[in-house]
Amino acid sequence: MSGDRSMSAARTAHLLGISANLNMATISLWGQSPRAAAILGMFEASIRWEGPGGHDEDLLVRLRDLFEEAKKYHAREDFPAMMARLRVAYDLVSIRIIEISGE
Amino acid sequence: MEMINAAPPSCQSVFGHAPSSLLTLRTMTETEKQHDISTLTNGAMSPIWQWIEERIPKDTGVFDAHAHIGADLDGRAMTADGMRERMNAAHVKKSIVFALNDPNALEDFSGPNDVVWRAREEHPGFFVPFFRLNPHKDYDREFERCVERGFSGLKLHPVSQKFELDDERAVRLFEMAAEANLPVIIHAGFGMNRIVDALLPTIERNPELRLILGHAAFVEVLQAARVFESHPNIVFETSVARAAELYELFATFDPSRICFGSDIPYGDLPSTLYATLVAAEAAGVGKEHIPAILSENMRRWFP
Repeated sequence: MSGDRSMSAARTAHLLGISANLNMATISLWGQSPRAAAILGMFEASIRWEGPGGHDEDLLVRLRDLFEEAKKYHAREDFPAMMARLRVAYDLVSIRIIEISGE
Repeated sequence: MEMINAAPPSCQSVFGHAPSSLLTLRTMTETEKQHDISTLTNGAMSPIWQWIEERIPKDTGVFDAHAHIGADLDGRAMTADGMRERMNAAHVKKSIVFALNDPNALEDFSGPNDVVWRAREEHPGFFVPFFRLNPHKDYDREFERCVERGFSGLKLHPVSQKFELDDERAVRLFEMAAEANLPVIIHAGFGMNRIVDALLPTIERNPELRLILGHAAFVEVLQAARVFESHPNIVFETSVARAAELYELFATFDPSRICFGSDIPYGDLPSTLYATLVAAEAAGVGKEHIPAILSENMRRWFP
């Protein structure tokens, strides 16, 4: 693979991991799974550090902000406000993956 | 969406220990939470909401093709007043509303259907009332009562009421609706398995049937788009489908047959509007189509 394609592939792989963790976390919350806390922790870990080449830092910053607020609303037992942020976070990641696929 | 046989989503401390800055927040009462809808658009949601507002048609506002009023077995609930607050805050001018999987539905959903009708009477011009039925029960009398009363459409939920879309009792309802010129919205999202193959024979036999595929039939969205393309009375409604699934729809299907929905109280207006708009934009849907998706496509059926 060329350098550009290799970088795009690495970014896609990184974001697919984030997406999978967030998807599992959202479903866990809906279903009141006892593993929800652990899976949310996985999502938080996956957005904590810089991604390949730092190309998606703008997205990661937004994800961290949304997740921090989701935690806050969860603590306040405001399920809709929490879930709105997690849904938007999931869609932000999806759209970025789609964008990368077209590069 | 309706989580079947699930308790209300609890907020046990799945996030672990809250940072100390959060511990100063007092716990809101249920009433305060229900009315504090600014939490859906503030903070990190603020730039998202600003982006959405720039795309909402100023003159017609938004038409929400999927929302609930009443109570559900899973603990969710929404009042007519709560709906209006959410509509006003998000520039929604009109909403299709119908009952949840109400614990008081008994045989025929007549009680929950009455709640929806009262909402329509108390808020004239804002709600498009659909009635809900259970194909397993004797539904003829309630169907006739609701049609005579002036309900605008029928809601069917194959997951909550545990039936297949090609169950003969459901097919009969589709045919009764077609004969009464009554649009039908079906739950075609969470928990579904068979949508396209199960619906197609009924649609082919009843080309006049106006059908709204709730949640964009997201589990089979591409096949649904392919198969139903030649059936102009089938429209896709976007509520709580994810942006990636909606991207598939917008990239392959006529935007004049896609309409926005929120699925309140399972969904919310800001995040569902965002999923719809960001997917449409990413798929290359022209800005000129956005007012149609958000409003005009449904207003063709419900002016």
